[in-house]
Amino acid sequence: MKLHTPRRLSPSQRQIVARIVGRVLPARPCLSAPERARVHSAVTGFVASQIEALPTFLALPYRVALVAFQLLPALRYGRRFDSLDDASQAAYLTLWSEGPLAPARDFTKLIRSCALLAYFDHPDVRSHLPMPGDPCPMPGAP
Amino acid sequence: MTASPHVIDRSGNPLRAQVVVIGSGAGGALTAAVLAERDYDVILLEEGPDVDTEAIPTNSIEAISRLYRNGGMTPILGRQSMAYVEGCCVGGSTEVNSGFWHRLPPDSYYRWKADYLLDGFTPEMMEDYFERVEADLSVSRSGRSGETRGSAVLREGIESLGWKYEEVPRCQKDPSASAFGPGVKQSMQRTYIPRALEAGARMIPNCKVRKIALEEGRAVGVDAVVREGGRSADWRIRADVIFVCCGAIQTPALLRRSGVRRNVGNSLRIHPMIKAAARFDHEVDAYDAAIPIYQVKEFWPTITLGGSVFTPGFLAMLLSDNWEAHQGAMEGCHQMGLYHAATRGLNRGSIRVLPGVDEGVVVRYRLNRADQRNLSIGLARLGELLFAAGAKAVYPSLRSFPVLTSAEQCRSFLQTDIPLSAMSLSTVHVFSSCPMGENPDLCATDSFGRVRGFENLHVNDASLIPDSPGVNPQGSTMAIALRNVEHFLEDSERKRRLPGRRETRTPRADVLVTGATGWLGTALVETLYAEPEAADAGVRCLVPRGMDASPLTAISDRVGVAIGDLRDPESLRDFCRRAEGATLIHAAGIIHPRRTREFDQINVEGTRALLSAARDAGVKRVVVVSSNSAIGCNPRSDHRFDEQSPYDPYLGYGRSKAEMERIVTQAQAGGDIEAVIVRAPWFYGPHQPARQTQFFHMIRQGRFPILGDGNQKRSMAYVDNLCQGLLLAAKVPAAAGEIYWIADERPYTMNEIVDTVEDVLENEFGIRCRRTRLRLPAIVGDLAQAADGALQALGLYEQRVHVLGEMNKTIACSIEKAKVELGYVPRFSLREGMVASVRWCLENGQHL
Repeated sequence: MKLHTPRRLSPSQRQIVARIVGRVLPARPCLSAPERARVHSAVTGFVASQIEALPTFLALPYRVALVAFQLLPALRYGRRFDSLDDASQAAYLTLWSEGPLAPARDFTKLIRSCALLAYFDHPDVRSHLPMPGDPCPMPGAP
Repeated sequence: MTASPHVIDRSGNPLRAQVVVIGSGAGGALTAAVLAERDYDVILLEEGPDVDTEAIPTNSIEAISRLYRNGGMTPILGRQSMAYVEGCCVGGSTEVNSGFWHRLPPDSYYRWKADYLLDGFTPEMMEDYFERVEADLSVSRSGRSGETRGSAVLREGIESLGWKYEEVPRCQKDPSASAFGPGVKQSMQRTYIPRALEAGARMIPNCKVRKIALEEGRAVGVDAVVREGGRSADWRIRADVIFVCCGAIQTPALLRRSGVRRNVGNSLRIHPMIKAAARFDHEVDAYDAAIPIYQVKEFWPTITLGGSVFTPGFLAMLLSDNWEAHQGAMEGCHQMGLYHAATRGLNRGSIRVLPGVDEGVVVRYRLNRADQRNLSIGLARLGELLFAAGAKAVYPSLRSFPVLTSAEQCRSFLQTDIPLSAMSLSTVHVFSSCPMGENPDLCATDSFGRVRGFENLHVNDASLIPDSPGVNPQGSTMAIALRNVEHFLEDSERKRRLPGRRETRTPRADVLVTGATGWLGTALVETLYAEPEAADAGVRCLVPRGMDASPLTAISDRVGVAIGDLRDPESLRDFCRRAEGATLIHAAGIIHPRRTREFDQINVEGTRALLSAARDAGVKRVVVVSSNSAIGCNPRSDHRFDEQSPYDPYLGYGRSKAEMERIVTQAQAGGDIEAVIVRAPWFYGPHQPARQTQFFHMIRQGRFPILGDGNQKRSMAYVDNLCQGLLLAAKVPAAAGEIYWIADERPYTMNEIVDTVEDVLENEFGIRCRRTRLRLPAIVGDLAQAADGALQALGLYEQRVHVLGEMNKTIACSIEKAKVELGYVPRFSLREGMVASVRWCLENGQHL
C-alpha cells in the first residue's frame, strides 16, 4: 500500500490556481498594492495546499479539471484562460460556476470558498474590517 | 502538546506492547489512560502530528491546514455531497471541536436494547460513567453570567417564540470564559493524554496504521508507517490486545483494509447540517466570541437549531454560494452571526476502501426524501428563529437562492422541499459504522466493543454507537469507551485470576507442555497425573490467548498456565521461566493451516524459538512430537518405516516436520539440551477435533471414500498409547538424542478401520450405519495429491484435498525400537480406542 503524501501542484497548475484566485477575490476592503500582493500570494498558497490535501481519489480528477479549465477557452475564445481579457475571464468563470454541470460548479466552488475563507481571515484583511465607508463599495451592499 | 519525553525510542523497532491503542481522540485517549493507569504497557498511535493546539489560533486557516484531516477537504459523497471535517492530530477531533457535551437521550437506551440487543446498557448503569468523564473534563454550563451577546440574542429569539431550549454544557475549565481561550477547553491534550503518558503509556504521533495483522482469529500486531523528518519507515508493532479508536470513518476503513468486514462500515449515521448567516442591525459579538451556547430542542430529536463558529472567513465561505449577489453582506460582518439546523439523518451510509491507496477511503451517504424534508423544515425554523431574534436578513447556504427578508419567506420551506442540489451541506457528527450489540445481523462487535470473531480486537470510539443519538456524540462516545475499557479490565482480571492463582502455587515447573489445549495435549496432562509418581509434578501449559484453559486446570491444582504463542518468542521465554531441569513436551504444531506459510512460522520457527527459550531457561530434556509426513509414504503396502528410513517429506507439512527434526537434532548435538523425537502417525481418541468427528459421520452415512481396493495400510495411534510413548521418551535416560515411532501395535488396512468404526457404532452404541462406501479409483488420490501440491505451491491449503490425496497411500511404521528401548507396550487396540472416541463424542454433544 502506498503512503499518501500530498503531491504538490506543478508550477503551471499553481499558476492556474493563482489566476482563478485573482478573479474570485473581491476588491474590498481597499488594500495597498503590496498588501494585496501579499494577501493574494497567501490565499493562493492556501488554496493550492487544500487542493493538494484532497483525498487521493479526488486529487487526480481535480488536477485534470484544472488543466481542462485552462485549455477549454481555446474552443470558444481561441486562447487559454490566462490569456483572456478580464471580461472574458469573468464570463468564463461564471460559465463554470453557474452552469448546468455539477462537477464544473464543484470545481469552482472549492477554489472560491477556500479563497474567500483565506482572504477574509488573513490578518491584513481582518485589520480593515468592518468595511463601512470603504472607498471600494461592494456590489449588493445593504 | 509536548510528549517528547514519552515518545518512544524509535530505534527499538520492532516494538511490542500489551495493548496498542490506535487513535488518540475521545475514545483512544481515554482508553489509553485507563489502561496505563492500571499498569498495562500501552502504546498509543496517532496518525496526525503532535502539535500544541493551543499555540494555533482556533478556526484559523493554519488550524485547518495543520489539524484537520485532508485540510478539511473530506467529502461525503451522495446525491448531494457534504463536507465533513475531523481532527487529525494528537487529541483528534476534540482539539478542533467546540467542546459541547450531551448525555445520551433516554430513548436511545431502549431503542438500542430492542434493535441491537445491546446488553448491560441502561441509563442507571451509564450514570456513573457519564459522571466520571464529566468530572475529568470539567463539563459545566456557563449560565447567564457567561452569556455572550450572540448567545443572548439567540435566547431572546427562542423565548419570544416559546420554544424549548437548553444551554449546552461544555468541556471547559472556566465556565465564564470563551471556550476557545488558552487552557479553557478540556480536550484530550489537556486531560487524558497527559494522564496516559504520566502512567507510562508510550505515544507515537505521525504513525499511520495501514493494517492490523490478524492470525487465526487473533490480532497479533499492527503494520504502520511512521513519518519522521520528511521520511517514512514501515513498522510492525506487536501487541496482545488492540483497541481501534480512529473514529467512525477511519475505524471501519482500517478494519476493512485488514480483512474484517462483517457489519463493518455498512451503517454509517450522520447529522446532516444546513447553515445560514443572519444580519442584525446591531453588533452581535459573534466576531471572535464563543459559539452561542443555546440549542433549540423544540423539534428534537429530528431537528436541533443552534449557533455556529464565526469568523469573517467562515461567513464569506457561506456567502460564496451566491457570492456575486451576497458579497455586500461582508460590509457589516460585525452585525452578523452564523447558525445551523442539524437534522438526525435517517438513512445509512457506507465506508469503503480503495485497494492499494491508504487515503482511498470513500464515504457515502445518500440523503433520502425524509432527510430532504427535515433539512427544509430545519432551515424554515432556523429562519423563523433568527427573525424572531431581530435579524434583518437571513442568507441561507443555498445556491441560487435570494436573501430571506421575513419569517414568512422562511416558513415557505415548511411546505415545499428545497432541492438537494441547491443545498450546501456539512456534518461534524458521524457514528454507527461498527455498531455494538448482540444482534449478529447488525452488529460488528459484541455489547462491549469486542470485534466479532476476534478475542483480542476491540473498537472503542463513536463507531460503536448503534444509531443516531440526535445529539453531539462526544459525551456518549466517551462514557461508552470508559464502560467498555473497564469491562475489558474486569474480564481480563477474571481470566487472569484462574491461571494466575494456580501459577503462584507452582512457581517451579517440572514439566512444560505446548499444545496442551489440543487433542493430544489434554490427554497427555491427564495421563501424566494418572501416574502416581507424578502426582506432585508441577506442569505448566502454553495456552494461546483466548483458548479455554479450564479443562487443563481442572485436572490438577498443580497445573499452571502461561499465555503465549509459538510465534511470540517473548511469550515463550515467559513460558520457560523457572523450569531448570524440567522436561518440555512439545506437542504444538499446525497440520491443516489456512496458508502454507504457517507451516514454517509455527512448526519450524516456532520450534526454533521454543528450543532457544528452553535452552536459556535450563530445561533438561525436550520431547518433540513429529509426524510420519517427514518420511512420506511407504513404497508398498507391506513395507514398514523404521527410524533409519530416509526423509522423503510429503508436501509442505512434511517438509516443515523434517526441518523441525533437523533443528531438534542440532539442538541435541549442541549439548545444552537432551532431545527426543517421537514420530506419531494418524492419531485418534477423546477430545478429538471436529474433523475426526466428521470421519465418523461419513462412515455412518456410508459416504466414506475408499480409494482402490482399500487394502492400503495406515498406522494409527490411540492417544493414550501415544501419551504413554511420550512419557517414556521423557523419562528413559537412554532416549536422549533418539527418534522413535510411536503407534498402535500394528498398522490397519483402510477397510479394517472403517469396518471397526461401523462395528463400534452399531454394536456398542446402537447407532445404525448404512454400511456402504464411496468407492473411488486409486488415481483419485494421486490427482488430489497433484492438486494439493499445486495449491501449496501457491501458498494455499485445502484440508479436504490434502486428506483425499493421502487416502490411497500406505503409511505404516514399525514400533520395535520403542518397544525395545523405551519399554513401550501399546495398551489399546483399534476397537478399544474407537469405543472410547465414540463415547467421548456422544458425551460431549458431537453430531455423529
